[in-house]
Amino acid sequence: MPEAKTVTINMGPQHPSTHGVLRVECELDGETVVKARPVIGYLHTGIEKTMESKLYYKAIPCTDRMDYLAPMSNNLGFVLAVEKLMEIEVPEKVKWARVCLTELTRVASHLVWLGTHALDIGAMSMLLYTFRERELIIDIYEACAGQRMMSTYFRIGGLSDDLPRDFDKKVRNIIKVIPERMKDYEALLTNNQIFINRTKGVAVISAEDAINWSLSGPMLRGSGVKHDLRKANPYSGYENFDFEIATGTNGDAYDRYLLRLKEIRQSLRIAQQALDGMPEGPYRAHVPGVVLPPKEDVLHKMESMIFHFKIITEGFKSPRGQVYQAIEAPKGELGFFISSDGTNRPNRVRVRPPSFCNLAALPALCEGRLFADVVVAIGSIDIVLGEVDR
Amino acid sequence: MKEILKALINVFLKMPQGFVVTLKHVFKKPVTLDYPREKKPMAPRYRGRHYLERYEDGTERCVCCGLCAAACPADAIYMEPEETPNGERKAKVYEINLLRCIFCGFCEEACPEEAIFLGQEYEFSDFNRDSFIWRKEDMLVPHPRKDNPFKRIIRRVRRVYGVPDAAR
Amino acid sequence: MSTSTTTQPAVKMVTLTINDQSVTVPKGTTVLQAALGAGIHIPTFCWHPKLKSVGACRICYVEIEKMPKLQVSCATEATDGMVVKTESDIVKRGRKAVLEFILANHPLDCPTCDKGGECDLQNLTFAHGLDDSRFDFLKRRHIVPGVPSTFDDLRIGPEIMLNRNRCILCYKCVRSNKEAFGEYDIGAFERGNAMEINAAPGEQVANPFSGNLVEICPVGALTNSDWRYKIRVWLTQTTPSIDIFNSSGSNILFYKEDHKNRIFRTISRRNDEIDDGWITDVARYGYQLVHSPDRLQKPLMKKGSKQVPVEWEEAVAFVARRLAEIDDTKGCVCIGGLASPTLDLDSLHSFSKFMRKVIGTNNLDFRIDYRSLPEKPDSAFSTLSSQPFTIAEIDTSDVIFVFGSDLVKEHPNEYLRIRKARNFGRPLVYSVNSFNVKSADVADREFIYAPGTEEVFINGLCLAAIEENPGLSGADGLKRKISPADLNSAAKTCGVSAEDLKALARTLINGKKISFIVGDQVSLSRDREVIAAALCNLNRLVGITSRGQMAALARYADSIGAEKLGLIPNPHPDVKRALTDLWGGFPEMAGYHTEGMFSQMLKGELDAMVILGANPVAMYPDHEAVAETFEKLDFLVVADLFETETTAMADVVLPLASWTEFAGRYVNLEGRIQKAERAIKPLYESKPAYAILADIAAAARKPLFSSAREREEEIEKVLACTTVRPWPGDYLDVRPPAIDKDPAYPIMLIIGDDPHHRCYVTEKAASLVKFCSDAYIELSPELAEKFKVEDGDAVRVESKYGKLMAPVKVSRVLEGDVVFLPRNFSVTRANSLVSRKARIDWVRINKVSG
Repeated sequence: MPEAKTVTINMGPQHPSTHGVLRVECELDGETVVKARPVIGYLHTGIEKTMESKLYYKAIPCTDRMDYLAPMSNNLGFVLAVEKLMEIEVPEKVKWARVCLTELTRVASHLVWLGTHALDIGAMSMLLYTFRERELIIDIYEACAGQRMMSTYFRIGGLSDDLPRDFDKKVRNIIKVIPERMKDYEALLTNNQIFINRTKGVAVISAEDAINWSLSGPMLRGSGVKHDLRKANPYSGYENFDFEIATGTNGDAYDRYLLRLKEIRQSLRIAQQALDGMPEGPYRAHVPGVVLPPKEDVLHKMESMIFHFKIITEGFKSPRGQVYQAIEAPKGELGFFISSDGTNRPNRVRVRPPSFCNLAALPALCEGRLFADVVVAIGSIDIVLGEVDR
Repeated sequence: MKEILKALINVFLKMPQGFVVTLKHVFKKPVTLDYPREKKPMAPRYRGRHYLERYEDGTERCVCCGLCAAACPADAIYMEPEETPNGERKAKVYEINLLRCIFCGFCEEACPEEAIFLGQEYEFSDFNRDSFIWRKEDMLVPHPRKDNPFKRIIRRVRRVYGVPDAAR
Repeated sequence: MSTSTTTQPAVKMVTLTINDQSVTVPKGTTVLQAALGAGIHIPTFCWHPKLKSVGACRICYVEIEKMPKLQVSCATEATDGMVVKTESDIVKRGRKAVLEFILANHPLDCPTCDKGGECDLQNLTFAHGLDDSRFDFLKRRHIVPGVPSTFDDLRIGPEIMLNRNRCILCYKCVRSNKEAFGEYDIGAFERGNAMEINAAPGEQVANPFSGNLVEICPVGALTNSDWRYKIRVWLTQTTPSIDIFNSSGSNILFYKEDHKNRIFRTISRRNDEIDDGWITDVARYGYQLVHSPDRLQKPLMKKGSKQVPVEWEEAVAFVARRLAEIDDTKGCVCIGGLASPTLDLDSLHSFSKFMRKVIGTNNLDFRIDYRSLPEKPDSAFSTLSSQPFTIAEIDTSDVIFVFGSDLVKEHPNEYLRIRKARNFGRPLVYSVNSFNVKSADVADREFIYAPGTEEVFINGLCLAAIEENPGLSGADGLKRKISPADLNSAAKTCGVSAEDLKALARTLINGKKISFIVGDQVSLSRDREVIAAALCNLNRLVGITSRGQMAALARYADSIGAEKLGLIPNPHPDVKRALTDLWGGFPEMAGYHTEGMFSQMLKGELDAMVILGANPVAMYPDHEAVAETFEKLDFLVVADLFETETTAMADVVLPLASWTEFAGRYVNLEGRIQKAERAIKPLYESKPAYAILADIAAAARKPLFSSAREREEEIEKVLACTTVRPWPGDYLDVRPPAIDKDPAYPIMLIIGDDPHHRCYVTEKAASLVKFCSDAYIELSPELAEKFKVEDGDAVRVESKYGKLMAPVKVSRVLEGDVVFLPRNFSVTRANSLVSRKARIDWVRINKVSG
């Protein structure tokens, strides 16, 4: 019997640092990873197919459940895709509110990433601090939509309800508080030699490789590619906001950490602008037959009652055609492709999830490196298995 | 030599920055709640357990129109209408399967009678799966919600009349 | 409309432009029809393809060049060179305005309204209207006095509820009731803002077609209890099916819910060849019997003196064993079978093969309630009943002759056809009967002949035809064969004057296209052979079928199918040959038909019966004699939906699946094969008849078919044979038999179906029972006056054979010494009054005091 040169080890699917139920098949030669193969599908819920079986408006809650750390971004992607299909122009206020909320979502998502990534590497207290800050944003979700995680706040053509009265105050509080707290994070990590040793030069990917692997979001920008859909292909009124695209240089885990901190700051800057410039106006577009009429009208106007009844029971007929709408989600390019056959349900929904595409580069990040770096690599990609498997 | 110096800087200058942060938090008030004894007040829009409302005279507001069931993305609502002795429509069976319910609030949004709404409560645990299927009686209970924004236009006869001027 | 165009042969065509599309239509077509024909959609409320236009709702606005204002397209005739726009801005604005006006007073009832989800008003508002209202004021409300409900629903009939608040006054209900059904029990009252639809004063909307009013109501103003507050329409699925209560086979659509395995309602599935989209209430509410709690749930077996529920295996094994025993000991001659002509083709053919191949007997029949059956295989009546008949041909006939039929009760679809022919053309319609019938209201003239003189009347018609046109061939030959042979004595005997006979004969001779319908008064008569012979003579003399059609119409949903599959002891020779080829043999014995089997049973020479879906004890004439006959049986196995008088006497009772519970094919009276899809899974443990027979045959180790495919192929081959029998080559003898009449029984009794019932099963359908829950004695106002009875008084009806008691219903139709008794009710079985031997059932009645 020939002597085995390598050992194959399964990391996951139940492993604390695989962020859910990811399984990585690692072939090890001693401490060195010869081969790493991500195995996915343990959280497959058939979200795309479920969406195809539902009326357009009933598919929105499905999107919440993909990247459950950034529900508003998912909502926005789907809602924008349907609005593009239906050619709906939403009121300015809706656009600004959506921008404000999705930027807060980015902050929340990055905070969770920061906490869990630091925890993976051994910095326990980061998790407690970032979750404390995230709670402020979750409170905003709750005040707006009534749910702390699965917000389902955005609707086709607007929002489910107007922004709450104390929205402005609460968000300004967040904008004030978080940068201060971020000083603590940097004190804990940025100059921490252990953290630096664990992340610097680890999970490196060059700009060229990043593009070739079709990476997006911080994974791409961390390698120095200045690409952000908010600038490259503005949606929901992003062209009105002044912010910078943060980039890294080395394309290693440490750069991506710095980059995400920068993004949090930029996001808060955008949220600030959104609050300052929040226009007055309706929270829903007036599109008869697609957007529900105001509830008060439904209660005493026959026409509104009929439209309400028909939209709820039958939905609306979409025009034949195909749309693709991508947004810059916290984790990268989140795209929704909808193919419509002219009925009231999408014929095909396909999601381009950033986690899934970014995860594909995992072998490139850790092959030839130490086994302990696999954890860092997975962490720095920032995956959510709900989105990977859908 | 340079290496040693760098290590020393790390140990004595950089690492303590982090220790200062953690030490600082020792003196801060905890942000967590002692949950079962202390509860967080939920936002007014919070989507918790379902309630069915009644009119002032005690009759059920729900007419079993089926819009909530039609709007429910999780198909959690089952209902069967019946005719009351005086010829009106009401629900004979109205069940919500809380195990299926995703608390999206679409039912509340769809209800054309303002009959169903989601309250503040969120503690549903039980030992028995059957007890998660809530019947009409479980939801037709007094509820803490004070102000329905549309109360002034919901009157029993508005279906036929439109809004009386007095109620505007 | 097809009728109006085909009755006017030279049609001028006009060409107009609709939305830049050139459309050529016959002159007289409306712009709306032209557009619809070209595939251009125009919204409508009040327009109905089978009714005349009124232009009440005005939603069908179109813009026509050179006309100053928008025009309603349903009431504007298309003319040459017209330029029409249906989607211009001004049209869209017009539609919005119309909808706004219609909705101004519409209550916000969508949540409580059962029409919600399939409502024309909702759909058109959603498609063409605004989603905001400018009329925000108190709405008009029709309050129903004395009802605490805020819903303002008013019951205007046993099934129908009216909500006048929701009504948009399209008048479709009133119009269809008047034009299509000839009923006047619903109307529009008051004027202006107060205008309302309501039942005629003191009337209930209870005509046999009233369900259609609910179906065509574009809003939820008319609803029926059947569908009221049961389920939302978007939760249901639909299944196409066939009405099996009617030999026309109207096309229907079931709304069912798969999880509940329940049908919720029936609506029509318009088939212009058969039903024009109108179905009877029996077809509409008949499905309810499927869900009756009285359905047989498990097989029953007589153990001791009681029938106890058993498992299928036990029952089937027992049936197979007992039949084999009887076959072994007494021979297959002693086994007989009856199958209902409402069963599907698969079941009927399985039955035929089961009896003939597995048991080897030829004692089988499907004619379950005919009074008397011919001994001869090729009788004049078989000829008459096998003639082809096409329902749609009635539309274009110029002479329609209804002989011996109360169409409303027997063939409602044909009744509506004749009415339609009269609405859109100018046919001459004659109704000839021995008593006054409701369907005569569609006739130009009604003739009443003396009871039991059908053949004399037809002879008289022949003689009158000869007098009118002496050149008719073979007149002398005919005169020798019939008696009386002169017109005046025939006229005197039958009670129709010679002038009238001549006038009738003239129209028959001159008619360009004749539809001659022969009904149950002939089909069920003891002497139907003689009457059929007279009709054959008439056809030979006048040549009706060379210019149209003439047939004794089939009575049940699959009568023609049973005939074609050879379910009689002496099938058509072609059918017999086909069956012999398929099975490699055919029982050599002659076999007995229903009547023959009963007399053999009485003699003790027939010991076992297999009955599928029939209830001869209750439906065959002479209740007591039939019951006595069945008691003599050694072994009786009955498959049925319900416990009946017949199953009560059975040794084994098998639960039969209804036509909704499996896919079956039926042959309607035109010979059209139609499929009823499976709507629900069989309820309880019921099984379709073909499956039951296959099980029994398998238990007897003589499998019926190797596969369903084989069964299908056999049926295809048998159906390919024609069963149309040629007209006789010569005139037939017509000697009227004597009519027995006892002066002690002076009143003629007519037995038939109530307009809201069919056979013995529909009393399990709750809605139909609301229309008529129990037997009644319908008698003429003269008789009512004579016996001093009013509606609801109990009377005793006595014949030589039996007596029964029933409440009185004073007829609006009957005249003279005639009473009508429905046969549909188990409490009062009409067949106890009649005899198989009598031509006319004579009865006497007296009032029951107190």
